[in-house]
Amino acid sequence: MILLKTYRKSNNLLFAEMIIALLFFVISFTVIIRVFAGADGLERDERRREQAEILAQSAAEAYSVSGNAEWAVRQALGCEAAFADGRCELSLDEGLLPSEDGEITLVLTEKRSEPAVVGCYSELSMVFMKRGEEFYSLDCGAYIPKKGEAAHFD
Amino acid sequence: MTKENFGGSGETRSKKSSGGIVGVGYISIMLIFTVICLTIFAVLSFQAAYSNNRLSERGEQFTQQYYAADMQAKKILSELDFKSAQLTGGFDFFGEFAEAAREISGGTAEKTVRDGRECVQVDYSVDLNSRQKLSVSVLFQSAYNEDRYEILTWKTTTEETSGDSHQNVWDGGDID
Amino acid sequence: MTSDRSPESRRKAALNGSEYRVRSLADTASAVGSMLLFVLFALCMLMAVAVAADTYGRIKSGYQQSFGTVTSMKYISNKLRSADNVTIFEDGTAAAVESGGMVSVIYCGSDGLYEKNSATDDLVSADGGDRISAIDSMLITERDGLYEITVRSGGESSSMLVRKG
Repeated sequence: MILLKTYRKSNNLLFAEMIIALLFFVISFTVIIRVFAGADGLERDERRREQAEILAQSAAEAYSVSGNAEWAVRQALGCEAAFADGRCELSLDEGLLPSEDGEITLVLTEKRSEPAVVGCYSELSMVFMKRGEEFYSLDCGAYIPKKGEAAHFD
Repeated sequence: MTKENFGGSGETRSKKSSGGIVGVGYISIMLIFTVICLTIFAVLSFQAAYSNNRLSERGEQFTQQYYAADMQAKKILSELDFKSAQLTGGFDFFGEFAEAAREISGGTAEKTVRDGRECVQVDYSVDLNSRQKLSVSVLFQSAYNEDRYEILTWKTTTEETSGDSHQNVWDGGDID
Repeated sequence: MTSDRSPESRRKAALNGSEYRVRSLADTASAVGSMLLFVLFALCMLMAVAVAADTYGRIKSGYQQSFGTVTSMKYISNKLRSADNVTIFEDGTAAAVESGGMVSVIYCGSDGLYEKNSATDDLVSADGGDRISAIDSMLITERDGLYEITVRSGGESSSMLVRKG
């Protein structure tokens, strides 16, 4: 009888320890998972921002050379951008490639200085948004002198 | 009866040691080990992601600074170009433009001769940050077409904080 | 006779035969059950550690890969932006960047991006430089007044445009 009692006592102790251990594990695991999720989120955000930065820089450089936002987008992204009233929205996927129903939106806004007598100074603003939240933006400018004879100041 | 039951105490030992049940404490040790491992990995992951994030933020900051300076330099260029077109055909283009260019750019403007043609060389710079700046050198001439100016340099330069910060490169001379 | 019997047989005799078998079976089941629970617990813990290690490895490798590609591209683009004169080598795997009386040859070596500094008068070649970052390949091409820098690292390729000086 003592043998059985010791045996059961031991088993009960084991189960009690296991339950306490599991409880402790669940609590600590919740905290650890949050830290992991935070690290993973940071890493994803950072990679997305880096990709956006490279893309925006490419577009800015192409825009700086041409002063043509559509051409700049074609060079940087390889897709056509249709500007209406100096504004264009492009849909991009997670890898920042043009996509029909991507999660990321690139909003391009072009402002041209008036009047363009001898040349045109313009600015292009690029804003990358994910689910309506901005995660990267870059403004750049271009100055393109007027081709041919510029206006005379008499 | 008591003796019989106590006789079992030896058997309890033999049953326990034979692996019938797991000893109390093993689970706690295993759990503590696991939690420590997980905590270490979690902290290392977060630290790696955080340091990468900070590095990338620095890069982003520089990019923003560069394009802000680039925009500023282009604005100055557009104003200079406008002025040069305005003064073209005037009585003293070089003198008047050089003076106006100095005022607009805040840099230097000197009359120079390049490929047998008289020009005004305008040098100006826009600060990127405390250490770097965007240096621009443009050559202006009296013309109505798009050849009014030629960009000689458009580059970032780093200000040397001390005289000995240059790179030591062997100049091909004798080594003492 | 009684003195010949072992304590086990005496205990067996004390208990009813069938009751003893049931209890013995219950004890065995309980022992096996607790053992299984322990093994399950141990496996779960091992799995948790393995998953954590894998996540850490993924974050770390992503960091290193991203560091290699992005850093290389930024480094080359910044070099080109601060250059007085740039000469792209014929195959596009190297560029000689002249700035402040110095020539930096940036090229892709066997296991990464390398840079070699020398005086402007010296004959430049794409070898014997210092390692900058880990990349698989690099290509610099010229088009429409722009340099296109393509860097490949860890199976991932990225391109960036930089205007010509």
